[in-house]
Amino acid sequence: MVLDTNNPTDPTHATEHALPPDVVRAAHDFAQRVQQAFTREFTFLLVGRTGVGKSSTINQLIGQDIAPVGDFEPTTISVEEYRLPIENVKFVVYDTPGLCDDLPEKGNDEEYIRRIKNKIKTVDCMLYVTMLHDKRVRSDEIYGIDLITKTFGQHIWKNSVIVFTFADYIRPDVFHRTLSERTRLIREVIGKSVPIDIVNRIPAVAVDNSNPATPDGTRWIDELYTTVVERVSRDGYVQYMIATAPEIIMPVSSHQSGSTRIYGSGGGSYVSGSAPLYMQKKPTPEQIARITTRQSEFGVPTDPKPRETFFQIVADKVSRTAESISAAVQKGWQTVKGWFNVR
Amino acid sequence: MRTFLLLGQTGVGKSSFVNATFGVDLAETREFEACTKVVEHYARTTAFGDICLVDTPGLSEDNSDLDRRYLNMVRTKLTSYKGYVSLYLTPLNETRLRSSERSALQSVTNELGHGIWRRSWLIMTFGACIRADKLERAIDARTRQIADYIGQICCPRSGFSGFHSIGVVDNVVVDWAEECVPIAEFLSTA
Repeated sequence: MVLDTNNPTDPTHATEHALPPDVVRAAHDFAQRVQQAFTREFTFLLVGRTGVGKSSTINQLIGQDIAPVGDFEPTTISVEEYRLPIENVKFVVYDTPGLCDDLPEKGNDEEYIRRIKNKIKTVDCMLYVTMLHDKRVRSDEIYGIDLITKTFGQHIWKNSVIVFTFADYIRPDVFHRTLSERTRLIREVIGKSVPIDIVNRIPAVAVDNSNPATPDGTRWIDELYTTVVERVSRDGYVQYMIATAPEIIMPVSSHQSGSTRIYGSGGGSYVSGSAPLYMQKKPTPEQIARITTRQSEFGVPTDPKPRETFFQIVADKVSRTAESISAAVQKGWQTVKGWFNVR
Repeated sequence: MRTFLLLGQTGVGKSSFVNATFGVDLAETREFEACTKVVEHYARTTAFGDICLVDTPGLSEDNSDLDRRYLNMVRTKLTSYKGYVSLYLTPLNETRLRSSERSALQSVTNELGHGIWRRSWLIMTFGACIRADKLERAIDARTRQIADYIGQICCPRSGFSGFHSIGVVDNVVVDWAEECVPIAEFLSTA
């Protein structure tokens, strides 16, 4: 919302009076998170054996080819870093070739843990990638899972998703059983060093890097996207949503009176020139409900009327502080202006 | 009686291979968890002669200590098999020579001796998982990966110069490829 300076009454305050002070505070905090979306780095961590489809999975989730899909065998345990902006939000993807590959270097865990901790400070979401058609969780994976817990601590699993690749190898009639059995067994290995209440909440998504749907007919990209949203860190949630689905995170109606149209669909001047990620996805109403459920963590009211007011405060706060956003994020701001359709 | 020693990682289908060869459920199999914990013999008369298959616990189930224990069990019985052929089983639907496979090959070589490869066959399982047009390439790649690795870890004098025979099977799907023969018939060429 843009302030009309000719208007003697400040509409913001009128709006704020309609909500209890703690909700107003929450709205201000939320607005701050929206702004921080353009300065903070959002971090994905990819873990899994070489050749299981880590790169293909992240490329499809993000909608860009960021990680090279290679055929090479890792010769050493290393940390690869890929940086990219999505709608001017800074994303960093860390890949960890060798982590689950049980290399000869094994035994020198301390050194590896030190090296990886040195490079990766925080993780907003970890994707643990493994093949759905594997018949066993073998020694290399057991070792890798243990090393993840040792390196990042058990809490890393709270922001993790198990991704099962090559779903097309599984017959439709045994698909659900295979998925639940494989999930149970991977969780069992994680559970060797992580409390059960954390382990039992780790979701699993089956993906198929050559087909849009898994054998049970699920559009897996929507399911993976939704599950990632449910699992990203608290600090990363608003940021991730701003980058990928602003309309869902900031559902202020597009038909308000006056000049304010917030997150109007399709009308934005997206800097990257391509459609934002959420437009390439078609989450079901059930999935959208799951995505928005997390808003309550930030004090967003659920009733329609206070909810609308809440987001008006957020939108207003964001546009009013536009000038104070540093030059470094000017480009990012352009995008926001596109979304907000400020005139 | 031809005797075959089945070796390979857990879950590659050693026990299923027994059942597929004889066409009866003799060996206990489990789809997602290791179940063969001891060395078992399955001897049967088939249309292609008498065959004895020695099923062994799968490798890479947990750590290399367990592998060593399992292979010790195998080694104590080796002398009782006259002129056996070792069959190394590996899944054809793997994309790489993963580290658990390398460590399994290493353990077999260390614990059973380099000579274990002298008269060895390579059996690739899950054949039906590979599309027909990709089959030949997959077989070539897999064979090379395994043979090259054994070549690396064995001393040249051990006499490993590639597998004596190579077979591709699917333990579940019958007649999955053109020109399929019964497994027992293939084994009778030993």
